[in-house]
Amino acid sequence: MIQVRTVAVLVAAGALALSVGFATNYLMRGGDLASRGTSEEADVESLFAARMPDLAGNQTSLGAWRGKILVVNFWATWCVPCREEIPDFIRLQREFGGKGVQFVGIAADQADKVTLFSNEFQINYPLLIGNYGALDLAKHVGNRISALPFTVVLDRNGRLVHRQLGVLEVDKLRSIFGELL
Amino acid sequence: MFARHFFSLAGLVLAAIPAYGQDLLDPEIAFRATARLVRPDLIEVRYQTAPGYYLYRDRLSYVLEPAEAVLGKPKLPAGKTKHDEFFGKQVIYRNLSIVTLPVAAAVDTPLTLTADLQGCADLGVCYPPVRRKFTLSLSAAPAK
Repeated sequence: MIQVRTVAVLVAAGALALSVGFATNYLMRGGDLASRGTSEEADVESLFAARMPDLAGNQTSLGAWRGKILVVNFWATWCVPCREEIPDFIRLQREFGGKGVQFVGIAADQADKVTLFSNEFQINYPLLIGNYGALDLAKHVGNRISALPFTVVLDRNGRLVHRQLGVLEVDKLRSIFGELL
Repeated sequence: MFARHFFSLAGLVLAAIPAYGQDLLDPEIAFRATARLVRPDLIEVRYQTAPGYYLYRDRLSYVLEPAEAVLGKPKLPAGKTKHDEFFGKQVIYRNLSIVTLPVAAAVDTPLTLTADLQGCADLGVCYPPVRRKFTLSLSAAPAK
């Protein structure tokens, strides 16, 4: 009897700890999203609908790349970890661009600084200038604390399949692309 | 027996939770700042960062109002040097750091100090620049 009760308590404690862990992981840092709710759809739609200038000054929205596997990276030139992961994104854009993957950077920054940075790094994917409005947009898709870098991956149907606060590792991106391609 | 089983399994389960699941703090909690007028001609700003968070010295800035109250050159603590491949050597502040600001032309209080700051977490994220405003007057409690 005591053993049965012990096992029951252990299972309950385990389930609780796991659910707390997964919930924290999902909400705070990154994770694959198994399902989506109505509010999440709306949030993704606000991401697709937001219009921002590109480096040439043309108003653009992410809707321009609907149907692609989209990697949307919120970043800024003043953010060191953001700068560190961009060379990886350039390589992966080169490697997977022909297969339907499209990286887009949304900069919480000023156009002149982003242009300088883009030229220096020879960024091969579109950059949109969001200024601090970019941080509000990132909040809509789960970046509660507005820290950077923050990246979301959307599948060809515009579903949010991954979000990441902090650097998104190459291996993780390859594994996501492997599932979506 | 019961307790031993409970804690050993609970420990195993907790260890399986990814380390990055820990919460990142709101910037207001990660980077606390208070300011007070020590004398009519001297302001003290105290920064307190949470463990695992730091502020960049060169991204601290100050504006004092009204305009007749001219700010002198801030006296900044030494801090620590952090090296990164993009910005080179950067001075950062952790824990408690105290900056003093001379007021070149003392005027009647209250004064309004606008202080901008920007910092990052060791976990590998940076927070956007934030602006804090303090209303300062003599013999008042520190403004938060």
